[in-house]
Amino acid sequence: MVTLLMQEAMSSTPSYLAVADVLQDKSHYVIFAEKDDSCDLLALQTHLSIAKTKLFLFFNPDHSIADYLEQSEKFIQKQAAGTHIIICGTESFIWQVHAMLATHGYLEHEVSLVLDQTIGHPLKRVYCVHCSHIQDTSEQDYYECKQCSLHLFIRTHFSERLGAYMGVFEHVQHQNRGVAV
Amino acid sequence: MNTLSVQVTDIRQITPVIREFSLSPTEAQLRSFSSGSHIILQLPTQERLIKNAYSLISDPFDRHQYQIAVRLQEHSRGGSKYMHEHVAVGDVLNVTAISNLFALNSRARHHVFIAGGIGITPFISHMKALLHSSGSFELHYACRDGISNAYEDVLSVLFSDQVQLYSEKTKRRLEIKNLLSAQDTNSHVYVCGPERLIQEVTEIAQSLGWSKNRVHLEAFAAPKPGVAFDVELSQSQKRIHVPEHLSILEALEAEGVDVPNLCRGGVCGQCMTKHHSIEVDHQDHFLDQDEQQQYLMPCVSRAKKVGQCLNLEL
Repeated sequence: MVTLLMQEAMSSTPSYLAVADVLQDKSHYVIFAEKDDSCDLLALQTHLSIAKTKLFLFFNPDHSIADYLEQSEKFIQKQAAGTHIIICGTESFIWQVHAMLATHGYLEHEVSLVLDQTIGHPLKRVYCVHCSHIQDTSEQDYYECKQCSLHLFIRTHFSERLGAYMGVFEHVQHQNRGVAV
Repeated sequence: MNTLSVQVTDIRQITPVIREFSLSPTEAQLRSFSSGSHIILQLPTQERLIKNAYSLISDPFDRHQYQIAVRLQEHSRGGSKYMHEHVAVGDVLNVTAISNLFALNSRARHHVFIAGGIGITPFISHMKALLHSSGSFELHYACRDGISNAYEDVLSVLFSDQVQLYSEKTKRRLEIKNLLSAQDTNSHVYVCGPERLIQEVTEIAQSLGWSKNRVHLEAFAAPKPGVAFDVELSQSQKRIHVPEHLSILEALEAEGVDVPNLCRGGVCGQCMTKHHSIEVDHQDHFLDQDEQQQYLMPCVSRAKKVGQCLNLEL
């Protein structure tokens, strides 16, 4: 059995801001947050001063993320260019909101991403490159695709459009490493 | 690209200082282009071979000719003067490159064009292209009546809903802050014109919290002349004199030193070169202040003092 080396981050591997690193130079902010009782959200509101922020909170057991995105979308469409958005939540939440913003023309540097480490167990959203199934997993390196049952290796290669890491058949990795040239 | 030879098939005087030239290929097929592209035209003036960049104003779907509009510059380094006083219908000129550093953003749903004077040129091809694709745009055009108001009449007739004119005649002033503040996130802004216009737009966009990628710039000005100085090339062990009216890039080319380049106007970053000099007059739109400590742009950067010597890693 070949042991995999630690994967290095790629240029597509997402990076997130710590609350303290969110720039305070804007006149107002719109925050999309996943949970209201998270420490990061409270810290963020204090960091930027509550008066300057408008909050769109997701957490509501009766609503789906699709409803939430649809409602926020109505607000987002009327905003002037330059309105600064902060998305604070789990990785899966961040990229679903991000995708919605991208379709309305929000660009890099107009959106800050804060990965909320204080919400439960972090899940990784993964995309099976063999059958296109997307699922959330608590695994870090390997997982089993619920649709095609393949054992997949989770790459650091990340798709912003899908908001997911690429999962590839694990033996492909092993074969490459095992062949002597 | 291989040099393409083109023949001047038509010349029209658009304003007292702006001339339009139609150029058709003499043998090979015309190279296709996207709106916002420019060509590098070789001008064999008596003193030297000048290479100037001109935005194409023709329709990208017109495969028969390139059209450009040239303003006679008061302090011409020889290029615009040559185009206005020497080039005649039937002449053959060489095009050495065609490239696009001012393309439309394909994801923008609305394009806001800001033109100052002869900076109107790239927008002419953009508007023609958007007519084909039914794209949404508006043009804000600041110009001087009877001098730099090229195509004013035809634009206001063809695009009466989309074109806003700012001149003495219309008694309107372009208020950039109001214009940018009114844009939503589907808009991208494009600006071409004098240095101070470009600077104002970029500063206001930044103050509004816009991404840099929302603003697209084209500095159409030829490199400004300055004092004469020398450059020392550390790798090839050469010392080359740069006269007042030549850029470093032109002086290098005259001595057979080739540096990759595209825009020849300090915006594209192709000719970026490492330097080891303390005092440089950078004049570019590409490098940030940190990068300027290490790099300069031979197409526009100069020494500040007469006789100074800039050390380049070439």
